[in-house]
Amino acid sequence: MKRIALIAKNAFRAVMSQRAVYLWGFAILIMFLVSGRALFTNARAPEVLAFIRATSVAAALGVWSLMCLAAAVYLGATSVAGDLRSKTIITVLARPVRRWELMLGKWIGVTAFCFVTLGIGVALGLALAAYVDVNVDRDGLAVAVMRTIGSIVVLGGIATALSASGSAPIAGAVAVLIGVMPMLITPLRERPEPIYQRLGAALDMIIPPDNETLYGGVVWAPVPASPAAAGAPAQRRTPIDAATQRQRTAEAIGYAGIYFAVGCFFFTRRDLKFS
Amino acid sequence: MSQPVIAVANLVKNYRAGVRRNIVQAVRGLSLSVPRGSIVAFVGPNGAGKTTTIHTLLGFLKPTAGRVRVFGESPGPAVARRIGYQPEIFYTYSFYSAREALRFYGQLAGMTSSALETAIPPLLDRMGLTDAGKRPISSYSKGMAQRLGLAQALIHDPELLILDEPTSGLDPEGRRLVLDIIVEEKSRGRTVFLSSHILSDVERTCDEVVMVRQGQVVMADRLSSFGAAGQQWDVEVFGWTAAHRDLIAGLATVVHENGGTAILRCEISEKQALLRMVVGVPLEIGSVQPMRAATLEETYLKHAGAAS
Repeated sequence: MKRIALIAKNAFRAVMSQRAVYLWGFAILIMFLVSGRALFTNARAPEVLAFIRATSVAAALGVWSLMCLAAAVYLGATSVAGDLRSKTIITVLARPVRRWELMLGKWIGVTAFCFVTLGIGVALGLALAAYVDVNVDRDGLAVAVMRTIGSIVVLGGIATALSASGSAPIAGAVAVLIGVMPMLITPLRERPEPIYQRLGAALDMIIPPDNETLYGGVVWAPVPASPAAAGAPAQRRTPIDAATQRQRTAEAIGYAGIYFAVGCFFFTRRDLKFS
Repeated sequence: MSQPVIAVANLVKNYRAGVRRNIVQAVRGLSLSVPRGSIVAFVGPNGAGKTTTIHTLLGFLKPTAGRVRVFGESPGPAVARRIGYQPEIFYTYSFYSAREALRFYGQLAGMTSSALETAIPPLLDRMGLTDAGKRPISSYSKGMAQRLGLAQALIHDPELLILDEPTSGLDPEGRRLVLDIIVEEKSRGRTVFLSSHILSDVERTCDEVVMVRQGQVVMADRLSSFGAAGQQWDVEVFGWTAAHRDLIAGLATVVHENGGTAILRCEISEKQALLRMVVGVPLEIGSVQPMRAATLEETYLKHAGAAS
């Protein structure tokens, strides 16, 4: 356990040494641009103003969470593969370190960095929401953050497992493919042809659940009604089903565990040849 | 006799390489043994299979066939605690300072913080890195990085040191320092398995030498047997004819004969008798010298060199 913690700390520090502060600065700039409408809108009508501000804050949180997922894939894909390419893995594995311990440490380190990044984004989102006076559903936010954490764990784990193949580009590409594949499953299963249905069912078994972003329901305001819609029933926020989301997160993490175990199995058995 | 620290028997390691995935034999039935407390050199040209063998000892590569034992066990994490390994080029995390790197590697080897606090300063001092101990490794020269590479191999006080070209890239002072440390480690009862191209380093430090070529051991012997004056003497004589053969029977053998010149080889105990006989015949004496075994370099060029 101590060795895993050491490798995780090392992986976290390796990411921090790669100008992570600049990356955070860039991400904050993106967040600022996405939420610019909330800060600089000229809208006068209170309901329009509330809607613009709510959607902007929700978009900012959503974009930040996507950046966290991208970071998880990138850092996971370059973790073990980077150590193999740079040969820094030699002096680590020459010590009493099992290969799965190295992989797990890398996964934890990468995930920890993404959690810190997510925490910064959520704090900035809350600060923005407070600044523009938008109400945030704290319970919903907790569920949305939990879902993002689950997705970070899943994509980071899959990318780290694939990274043990030695090729960061392949690891990243396959992890992204696995990340977007759920979007295909429902259309395939709804096709009338049995072959597509079977393909959809097969993918549903091997692909982890989608990385749904829930921030739209966390910071919410009704769409401003047009004069023609006067008298229509009031719009209501669609509540986030916390129990379902928890189940899907747990399911996704289970998938990540299986992918990771398979990655460890192959990495443990393969020859490490350094040219 | 105690169990050897390293025992390799008939090691074969094949790779698949190229687009057609052809089999390449990197090691072909290599056998060697490293006794406890000795310094054994592992020499051979590039591509002879030295690094492949070392990486098999460390568990990075799995043997295609044959048996590899380190401290009587298969290579792996269980025995890694007892091994210190210095790769040919020490690649490490450039954001660490030397102190942090030694702390990291020491902790991975199971050392406690207090043990590291005690071990790091003298080790840095021994490597001449005390002043640079807090600087990032990215600012180190090649020689400093190489010395740090040896320090990380020594940090957990291993019983076996596996050193791959430990003096490569070092200036004469650094080279001397590293060789002195290797000899010191031996005097502390440590076993050293040293891969090197620099035969003068091998001659200076090692007890035994194992020469490899094309994945096979071509020669293994104690270093003291190279270039040493032996128990036999060579006497060069002029005016030699076939009729003189009977006169030296029992005293010497003819190892070279060309026209009227011959070289007679005798045991040291027969030298005086042979010389008296030669003077009495009479034959002219050209030279008298002890027979010298081939030097390490001569043996290397004969067995493992490119022309062999």
